[in-house]
Amino acid sequence: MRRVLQVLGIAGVLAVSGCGLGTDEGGAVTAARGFYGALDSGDGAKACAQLSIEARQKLVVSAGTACAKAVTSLQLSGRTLRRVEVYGHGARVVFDSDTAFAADFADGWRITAAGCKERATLPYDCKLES
Amino acid sequence: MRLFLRDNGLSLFFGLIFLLALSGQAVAGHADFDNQQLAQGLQPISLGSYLTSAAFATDVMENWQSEFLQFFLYVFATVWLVQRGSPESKEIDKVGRESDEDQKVGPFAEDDSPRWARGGGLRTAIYSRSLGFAMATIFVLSWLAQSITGVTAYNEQQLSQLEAPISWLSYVTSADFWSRTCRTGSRSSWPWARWPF
Repeated sequence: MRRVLQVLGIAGVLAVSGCGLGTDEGGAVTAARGFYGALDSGDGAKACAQLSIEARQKLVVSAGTACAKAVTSLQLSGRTLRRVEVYGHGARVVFDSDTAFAADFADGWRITAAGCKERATLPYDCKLES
Repeated sequence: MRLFLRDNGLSLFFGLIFLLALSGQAVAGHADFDNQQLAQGLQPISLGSYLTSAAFATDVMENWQSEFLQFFLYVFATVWLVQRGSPESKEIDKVGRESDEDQKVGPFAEDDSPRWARGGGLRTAIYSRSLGFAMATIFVLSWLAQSITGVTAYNEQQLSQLEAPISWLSYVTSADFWSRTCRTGSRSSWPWARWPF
């Protein structure tokens, strides 16, 4: 009986930790589509609203202008979604022409990095990041 | 009630300190996780969210893994290996598998022996090794659980550092997984290694 409980315990941990196994793809995709959709229509303010606070602040400091102007000047674009991977509270959203990273915050999913190019053994090189 | 406490005192004591240690691990682990989140400009999470996170599950599975690996090794190693003077060890002249008569299996089983002990053949062979098999099975299951929760926790960290996530297959050949596994191995064997002292 004790062994049955131990096996059930392990199964329970697996089931519960499955909550962290990439189940909120919708939130990450919505944030990414909202971001690139706003950029496509030239709405920098709306695109900035999809960014995390840190990403927004860093962009403003590095560009030396308001966020809406700075984000549109990056000329980022993402039309066709290729794949999305969510692990815990983080996500990578890959489009045909760009890759973005997102994270789950108290007020929903926000973009933490965009305009990202993959490098072999190094972190992504991103035009915008937190 | 008093009788229950007296008769089960040892189990209750270790059960209580296990729960206290697990609670401490949860609180300290949550604080550490949130510190890392804040350092990366990410959202701290509640204790409840942390308890259902892959990060916490991986650490718990690593502990359970070491316990069952320890018992699995103990069950099998003590058949053939001895330690002079240790109360946990067989006597020196009793090294090896004992006879069917000593173990009361097969034709030497008693009337109230379990059915699988009496039957002989494959069933008795399995029954004779059932404790080791049970410990090994639970160890393998917890190792598998650790690999599944571990790849999620690892990839969550990868994403926070703008690095590509990896597959489960890549994770079980990664340094992170084997570092945790070897940590489990050393944790399992140390309690027995200090017997002579």
